Amino acid sequence: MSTVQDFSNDIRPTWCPGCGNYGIWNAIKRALVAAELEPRDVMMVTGIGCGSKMPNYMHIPGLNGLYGRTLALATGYKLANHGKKVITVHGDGDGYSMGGNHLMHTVRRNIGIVDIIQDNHVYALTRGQYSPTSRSGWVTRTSPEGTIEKPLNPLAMALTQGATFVARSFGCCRIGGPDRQGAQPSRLCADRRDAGVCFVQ
Amino acid sequence: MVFKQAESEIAAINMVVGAANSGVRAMTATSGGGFDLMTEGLSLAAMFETPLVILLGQRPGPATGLPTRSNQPDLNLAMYAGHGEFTRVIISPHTVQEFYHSAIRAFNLADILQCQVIVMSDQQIASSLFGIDMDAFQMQDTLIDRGKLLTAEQVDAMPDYKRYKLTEDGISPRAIAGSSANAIFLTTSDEHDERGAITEGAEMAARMADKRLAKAKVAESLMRPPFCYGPEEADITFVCWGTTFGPVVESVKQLETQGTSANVVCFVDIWPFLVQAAQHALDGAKRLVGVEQNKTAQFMHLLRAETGIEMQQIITKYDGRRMTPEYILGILEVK
Amino acid sequence: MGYEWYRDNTYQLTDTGHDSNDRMAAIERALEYPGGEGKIPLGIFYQNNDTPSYEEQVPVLEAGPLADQPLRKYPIEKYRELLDELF
Repeated sequence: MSTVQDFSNDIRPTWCPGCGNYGIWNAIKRALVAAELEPRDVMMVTGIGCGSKMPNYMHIPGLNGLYGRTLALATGYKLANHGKKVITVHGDGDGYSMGGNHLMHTVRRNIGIVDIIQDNHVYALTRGQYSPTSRSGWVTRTSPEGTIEKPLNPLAMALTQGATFVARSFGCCRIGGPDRQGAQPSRLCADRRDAGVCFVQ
Repeated sequence: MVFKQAESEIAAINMVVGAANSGVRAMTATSGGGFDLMTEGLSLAAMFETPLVILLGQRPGPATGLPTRSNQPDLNLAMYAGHGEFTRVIISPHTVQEFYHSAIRAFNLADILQCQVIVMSDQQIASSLFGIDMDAFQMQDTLIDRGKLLTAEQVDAMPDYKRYKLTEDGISPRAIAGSSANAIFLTTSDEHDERGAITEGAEMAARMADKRLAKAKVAESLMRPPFCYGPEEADITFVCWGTTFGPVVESVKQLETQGTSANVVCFVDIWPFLVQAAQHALDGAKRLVGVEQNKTAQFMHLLRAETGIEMQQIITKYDGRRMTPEYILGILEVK
Repeated sequence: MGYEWYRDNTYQLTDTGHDSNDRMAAIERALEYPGGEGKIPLGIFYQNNDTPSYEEQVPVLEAGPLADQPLRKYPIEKYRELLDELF
């Protein structure tokens, strides 16, 4: 049996105090323990962004690739080694903007990847430009008069493209563990067998 | 073997990088525009130090160009694709048999050097059919060399394993992440330390850059010199690379019937460039004639930059049609 | 928008009797945000465990993960068999 400590290392995250990434980070560790997985059973694939540095702050095999290419990198890994639990962790810019095409195809393929999008509706690492999920009218450095574009609806997109598991949580909730209402656990911690793609915003 | 048709060349290169990081051998194939899309991924593979094979089938550009025709316009692209500085190997086989053997060799070189190997082809040979005796392929002699790849058992005995350990030849013993409890590490596109953790350290950054480029020395020791076809002494020495070899050999044969002696020096291993081997092969040639299928004579420029050797005549063809002996002999200046 | 904002502007799908096996209901819930006026739904919108995954449908992977399958030379006799089959 693994513990949360088994997935921890001594490198301190560079995330700002109060950042939602802390919640997601802890939730993933707890979910991996709940699934009775050891570090070597997992591959965490991430992109570029503050949150994508997550595997640097964990004792876990990780691939920290290129901006937007997270799901393509993970797909290649999963096809070559489907015995591992593959978790992708990336932001809304990585997942929807640069990587929107890969998201669509990963979802319709139903490949066994647990995809966690840290969606804060803004490009935070580069200090506040609007993202694909920023609401209309949002004032940012690159939209001083407010954004004109309508936000993407990633969950509706995933559902219409055939996603077989779609969920939303927010950084202060547990992802994957039995949720506050005691509903059935998500696939993140269900069992080692992946039944297909799992999309969590 | 698993084959996957990806949604784009960007996805394809990232998928093979991902697959190769599980320990399997992985490759992708593309042509000009697709290769353009892969360049970012090549840079990623270099930072990861992931062994990779990429087949680049050339055709005339820019852009869509002549998409169903053939050319050799992408040598510069293959040499310089991807941001940052790193080691790569480029080979450009000259016959179908050589392509078969090169595929095996490319994977071995990639594993030994933990770097990317680009095999250059062109549309002409990629969509041609040849009848060749199976014995020409020497399949029984196939060797699989995985270089410094560690088995799980070996890593189990290495409690202080470092994926990017600084070594003299720049090549670190390679464990597959997750293969052992001792092999739990990050593979990152950021600069990293010996363990793979992200670093901003100036000294470590320089040492890792040195490491990635030190491999070029090992690569050089594994490159083969250009080969010569025809008589040792000749009035004309053709210089070519890759599949241009075919029509050049025909030209040599036709010149012989006309009473002019000619030979060919053909480069298959292109990069890293073997300076002394090239000088040795071309030393004493009476008249050097470069032949290649692009407008700017990219290979002849490389040869000159590396060795100072200049051609007396350069014959280029860049209309998307195959180089032919008739074309070569039509404009060859015999002195 | 910090913790308090999300606490006050979200609701749990399980509190509303949402059936996560119902894809059309899930799409309707998904369209509540962004696009709707009310609170943001949280929880499992949809799950379907009956659809086979991609990797389950790749025949060569039935023998186990590719990374665990040995890398070996294809026996030369097999090539000859293949050749005889073709010609």
